[in-house]
Order: sequence, then C-alpha cells, then structure tokens
Amino acid sequence: MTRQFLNQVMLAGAMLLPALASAEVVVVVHPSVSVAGSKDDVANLFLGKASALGGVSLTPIDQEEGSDAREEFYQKAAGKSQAQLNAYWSRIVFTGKGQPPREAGDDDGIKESIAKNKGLIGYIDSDALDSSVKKVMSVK
Amino acid sequence: MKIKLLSILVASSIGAATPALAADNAAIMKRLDQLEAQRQADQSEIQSLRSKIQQLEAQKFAPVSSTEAAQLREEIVKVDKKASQRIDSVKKSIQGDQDKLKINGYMSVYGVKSTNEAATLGSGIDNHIGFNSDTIAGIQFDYRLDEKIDAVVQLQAEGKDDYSLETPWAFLRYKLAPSTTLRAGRMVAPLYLYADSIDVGYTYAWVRPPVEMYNTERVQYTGVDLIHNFDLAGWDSSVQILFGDNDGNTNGAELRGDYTTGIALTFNNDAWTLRLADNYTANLSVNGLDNFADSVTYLSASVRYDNGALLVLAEGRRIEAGALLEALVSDSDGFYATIGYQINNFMPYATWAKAYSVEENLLPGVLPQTQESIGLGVRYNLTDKVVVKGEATQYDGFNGTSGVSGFATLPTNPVARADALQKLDEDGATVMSLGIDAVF
Repeated sequence: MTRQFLNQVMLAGAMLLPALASAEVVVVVHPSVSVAGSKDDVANLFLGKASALGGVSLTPIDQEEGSDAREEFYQKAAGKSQAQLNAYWSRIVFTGKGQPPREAGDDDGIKESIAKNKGLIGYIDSDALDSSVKKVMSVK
Repeated sequence: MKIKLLSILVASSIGAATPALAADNAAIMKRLDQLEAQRQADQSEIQSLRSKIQQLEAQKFAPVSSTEAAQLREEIVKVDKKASQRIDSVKKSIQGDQDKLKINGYMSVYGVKSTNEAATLGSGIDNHIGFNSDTIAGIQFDYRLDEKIDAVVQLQAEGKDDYSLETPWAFLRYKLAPSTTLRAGRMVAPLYLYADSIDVGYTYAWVRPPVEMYNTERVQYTGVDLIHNFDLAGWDSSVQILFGDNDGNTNGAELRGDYTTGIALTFNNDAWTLRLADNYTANLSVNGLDNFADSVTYLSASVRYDNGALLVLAEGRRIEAGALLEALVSDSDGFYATIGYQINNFMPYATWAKAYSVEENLLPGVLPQTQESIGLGVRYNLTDKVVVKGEATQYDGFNGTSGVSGFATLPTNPVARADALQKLDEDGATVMSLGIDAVF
C-alpha cells in the first residue's frame, strides 16, 4: 500500500519537474570573469544603485521589453513588475540621474554582447546556457 | 522471311536450270540460316537494351516519398527562421553598443475645472473646463560623450506658460567615482521629495503634488551638484549637495538670488524612504529690487512607505524668510499625508494637506495665509507606460485670505476682490481633474 503510494507521489513529482525547470533565469558573465555576489547585489547592479559586483566593475544589459526572461528576472531578483520599474526609472531619468541598462535583444543577443565585451553582465533563460557564457547564479 | 522466299525462288530457278549448281545451293541455304539466326540475336539484344533504357529513365524521375518531402520542407523552414532570428539578434546587440544618444519624453494632458466662480486657482484653474493648467510635454536627450561623461538636455513646454519652450535641465554629468556623480549646468532644485520631477506626472500618484507643500513652480539654478551614494547600516543612502546661481521665481513675485545652495539626505530600505533637505537662497532681489532681502530657506522632511500594494506618504516643509523679508512675508509651514492602495491596475488614494503662515513679525492688519484640503483620486495603469488619473480636491480654511503661496488669484477690482475673498472663505473651492500621464 505504502509502496504504491510512494510510487504515485514520485510519478507526480517527476511530472512536475519539467514545468519547474523551464522557468529558471540565470545571471551570466563572460567565461573569463570571476565574480560572486548575492541576489540583492545583482538587483542593485541592474537598478543602477551599484556599478560593481563583488568588487568587479560590470555593466548590466537588459533583454528587450516584454521578454519572459526579463519579467522573470526583475520579479525574482528585485520584486518589481515592469510598471513599477518604469516608475522607478522615470524618476531617475527625468531628474538627470542616469539611464536604465541598455537593451541587447534576446538570449542569443545577450550571449553575443557578452562574448564581445567582457565588462557586461546579463540574464538568460537556463535553457540557453552554453559554453559562451559563465553562470553567476540562478535567480529564484 | 522474305530472304528465305527469295532464296528458295533463286535456288529453285537456278536448280531447275543447272543440276551442277545444286551443291552450291546447300551452302547458300546454310549461310542464309546463319544470317537469320544472327538477325534474331540482334533483335533480342535491341529489345533488352530498350527495356534497360526504359528502366533507367523511370529511375531518373522517381519522386521522393511525400513524408520525406514534408520533413525536408519543415527542416528548411526551421533553419531559415533560426538564421533570420540570429541575424536580428546580432544586429540589435551591435546597435546597443553603438547607441550613444537616448531620447526619452513625458506628456500629461488634463481637463480641470473648479467650482469657485470668483478666483483663479493654482496655475490657471477656474470655473470652466480648461486643459492648459496641467498639460505638459517634455523631451530629454541623454548623450554619452564617453564612459564617464554624459550630456543631458531636457526641453519642456507647459500649457500654463502658453507652451513656451523652457529648458529645466541642461548639464554635463561626470562620474567621478563608482558611487559619486558631479553635474554642472542648469538644474532643478530638489527642495522636496518630488520637487525635481514635479513636471513628470508619471513619477507620482496624484494628478499634481499637494499645493500646500509644493509651490507649483520649479526652482531653477545654474551651478554644480554632487551626489554620493553610500551604505548606512543596510540603508541605501545618498547625499546631494548643490551650489549655483538662482534663477527661480515664485508665484506673484519675481525672486532672483545671488546664489543658492542646498543639501539633501535620502535613506532607502526596501519599501521605506526617508528624506531631509535644506535649501538656502541668499541676497534676493524681489521684482527687480536688488538686495531686498537676505535669504529664503526651505526645510523639508519626507517619509514614504511603498511596498507595491500599500503607499503611505507624508511630507512637511517650512519656508523661512530672512530678516528683511520677514516683515512682509511670514514663515510658512506646509504638510500633507497621502494613503493609497494598489488593487490590480487601480490605485485609489486620499490626501489631506494643510499650510499656514507662522504668525510672527507680521505687519499689523495682515492676516496669516492659510488653506487646507482633502482630496480623493484614482490612478489607473492603462499600459505600463501610460496612466489615467482622476482627482477631486476640496480646498478650505482660507480664513479670509487667498491661501498660501498665492494659490488663489483674485480680481483686482476692490469690490470684486472682497466678494471673492468672502466666497472663498465660505464655500472654499473644489478642483476636479481628469487626464493621463505618459512616459516614453
């Protein structure tokens, strides 16, 4: 009886796993860059509150507006929706204090940009992770 | 067959003619048989070659099976799509690297009406639906000169100033250090929490920041400022110091100063924001009269709690007039409290505000300016860059005065003026506004 129940639970669990895995966003840098930091540190970088992560000077790049990875990243890392981000950045832009990160396309665009410029940091869907970039952390 | 017949005919004719030729006839017959056999053989070879050719021709035109073809087609489409996506993506990343100029803008359009027939309130609000009092359009250019230097210019036109082109911001920004920025040029003084973004409706919840706290005009200066970010016990903090030539003006009088200076401290921790600011303008001239007064000081304190769902915001300010001005203009205090709650795309909010002159050193017979207001409004997120706002604010407590900072502009005719003051005192005024704020 217990064995059967356990089997069923495991089966149900296994069916859930694929759904969880595909929603993950990872923060990436150039493979030659060695950096570590907390989720808050990364959020501060992307919100323009810091210009370095763990002592390493990095410039954040965003995916284009509306991309799933972008929404997921900001929701998980900074707890902000796109509307809240717009309000936050509007105040900074129109009082001349700075600009939001530049946009660099989709997962491929981010990888291309980082391959060309070691000083960048971005986020991509975990499925797009390959040897052209190094994972700094998963954003959960 | 024909040859055989012919040969028989020839043979028989020759055989009938000469018996001696009979032996040669046999040899000819044999030869004819041989030729016939060869002909048969050739025919069959021709036949087999023909069928071989037919086979080869058939093979040349053999079609690929329909499933294979469909698969190939799918593959081609997939590869094509992926290739064009990659091209687009690479183009964009190159574009991103090359973009040195960023253009942003904002726009607000509001229809506004007040219930008071006698006075014009604020920036031109009266008894008829008007669109000029709160309509503003602005455009800003950020140009990245190099890694550390940016040039910023913001142009703006306001309905209340007949859409004359103004330049609230025009400065160079230099990144001195990772957490320190120096700016030089024309800027807006950050007297209170939203004072430097007062023209961008999108940056705050109300239609307009409470007038009891915020004078409707920006205070401009041309000079330098320094912003330094630091961490204080886990709070994201910043200190801003400014110094420059004062270009500001205030409702009713043209106020120009020799210099203006200020300091603002901001502390941020998740949902909480605390701010303290002190701005000082010295050696003022009022309406062209030089050295009229020695100074005006703006002191303010602000507290905000915003966790995305609940917004609670309160600010207070004191405007202190220097020695000479004191006799004519009293120190004045103003403050407000706002509470709002975000439900899906709607945020209803309520505001209570009050301002009054601090009754010291006034000329005899001059009443302390006062006013108080209660406002209710709703903000709706139409898209993530456009919001619709509706607000109704009831102004009261004028106590026979025209309010604070010249809020109510009265008719010049003494009789009409007295009448207007009385109306304002008795009924107050309700201002209703409906419109949109957008950023791009």
